[in-house]
Amino acid sequence: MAANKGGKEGKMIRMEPLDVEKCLREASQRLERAKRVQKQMQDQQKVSQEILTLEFSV
Amino acid sequence: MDRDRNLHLKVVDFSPGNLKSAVIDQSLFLASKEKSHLIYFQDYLQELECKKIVIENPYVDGDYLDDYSAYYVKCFKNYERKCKRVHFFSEEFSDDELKGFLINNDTNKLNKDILQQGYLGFTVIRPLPDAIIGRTALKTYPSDGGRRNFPCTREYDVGFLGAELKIRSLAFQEQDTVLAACATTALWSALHKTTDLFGSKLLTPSKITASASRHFLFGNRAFPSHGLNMFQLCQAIKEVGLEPELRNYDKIADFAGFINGYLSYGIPVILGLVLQNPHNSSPLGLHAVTIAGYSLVGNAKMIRNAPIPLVAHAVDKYYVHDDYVGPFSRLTLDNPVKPQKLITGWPCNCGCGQKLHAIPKTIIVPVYHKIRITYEDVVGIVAYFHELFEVVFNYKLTWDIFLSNVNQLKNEFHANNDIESSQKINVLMHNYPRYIWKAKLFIEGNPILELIFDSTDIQRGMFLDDIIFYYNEVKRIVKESIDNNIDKKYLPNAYKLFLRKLFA
Repeated sequence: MAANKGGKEGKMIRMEPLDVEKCLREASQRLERAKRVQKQMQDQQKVSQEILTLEFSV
Repeated sequence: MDRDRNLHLKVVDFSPGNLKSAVIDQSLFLASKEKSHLIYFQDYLQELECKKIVIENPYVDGDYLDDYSAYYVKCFKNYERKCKRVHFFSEEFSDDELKGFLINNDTNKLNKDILQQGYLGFTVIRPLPDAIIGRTALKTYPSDGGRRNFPCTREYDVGFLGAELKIRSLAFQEQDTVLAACATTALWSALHKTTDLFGSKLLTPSKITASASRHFLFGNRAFPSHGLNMFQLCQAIKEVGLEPELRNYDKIADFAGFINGYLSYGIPVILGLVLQNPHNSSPLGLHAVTIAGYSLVGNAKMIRNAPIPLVAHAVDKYYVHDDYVGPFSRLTLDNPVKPQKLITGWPCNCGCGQKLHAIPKTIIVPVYHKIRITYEDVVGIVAYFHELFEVVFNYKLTWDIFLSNVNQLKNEFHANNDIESSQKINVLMHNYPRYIWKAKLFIEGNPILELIFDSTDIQRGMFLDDIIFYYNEVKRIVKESIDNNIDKKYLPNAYKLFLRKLFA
């Protein structure tokens, strides 16, 4: 997508040192969130029968 | 030479009156009120700074001829076989100057370059009582500094008095409700782009309706056509060698994200809408339109209910081919993630000046059969990496997830001198599948890495193909997280192993 990215493309961002403790502390909550998104995406692909016979005619 | 075969050309100034007389043949036209397309064309062409109209009469149009042979020729009443074609220009020139161009006079002011520079496109006028707007290719709105984007356009060659003019557009036409209703014309427009993109077959409206109705008639007759259902639309897509990706709007978790996934690559998305009265929200029927472009406002905002923050959340409207309104008509969103209301270009019947509202009901994307991995399959995996990278980089992240191909990927990297050389060489010397999904990660608007997915793979396989780091510093931090076993807590096994193999 040709996006308005709000910054000059290619500018390197300053990276903080890795906070290992924080990463491990937040892991289970974040993993659950990712699983929820994956499930939501799987459900999104299941088409209900009722829409198949809708006639677009206006 | 047969004088009946002479081509008549007329040059007139662009004005509402001249446009109306160029388009409408009063001896045939039955509509009792002002034709809505005409008002739309007038405003649209005014915005493109149209100055001249050239009327070419007669004109033989292949699409109309096919429709004519399928239906109109067998009517008792005589319908003409030939159309006229109306061209629009943003350059000033006179009748005499156009004649001078014909004999290629060196002293003549008008030449092919000037015509090309000012060419705004054409519309074919069908010799019918009401549904007169035939195949139309008009220039898009200007880009407005990158705000407006039209990925679903292609180049059309237009023969104009010995000059081959080019116009970048997507073909549009009005439904005649005989051979084509809204769903047929929406698909017809979409096929104009997919034929360019994938080399798939391009069918005329009557052939689309016929192939859609071959197996699914549900007791109705195919012609006159009053509409198509989802079964039929999907069938017509399969007939041209493509596969339909069909979705229920009710189950869509991120509207703009899904649409951007396919639209960015240039695949037109067909939206099935429930039209609503703007005063009391009562339903007015089901209508289909084709999305050809989009408009972005500022930066993508962090939207609370979005599964993943996306660049696509900066979309405020789409440009759609709405056969009742016109080409590139605006469809404005109240929320990019789950719009409750879309504002269409349909004027309200009561004359209040408001536009009809719409709620999406279905979404269909015609894709090449080898694109087997869906947008949702990719987002399902990106979600894990999003959680890992957000905590590892300690920044709010934004993603852009879209379909692409190997040539686009390599061209982009070859041209980008901001990426570190070692990373650039890795990409250019790597073997990728033809169709890929890209998940590009941004921090504060700057791209830092890309996940590359093999779109031809199987869903329950390992379809993440590569991770491209723009900077060695970014790569180092991800490596550090692996060394500290953080990835083990965040990623499914297969992806964890992939990452470790990548850094081995």
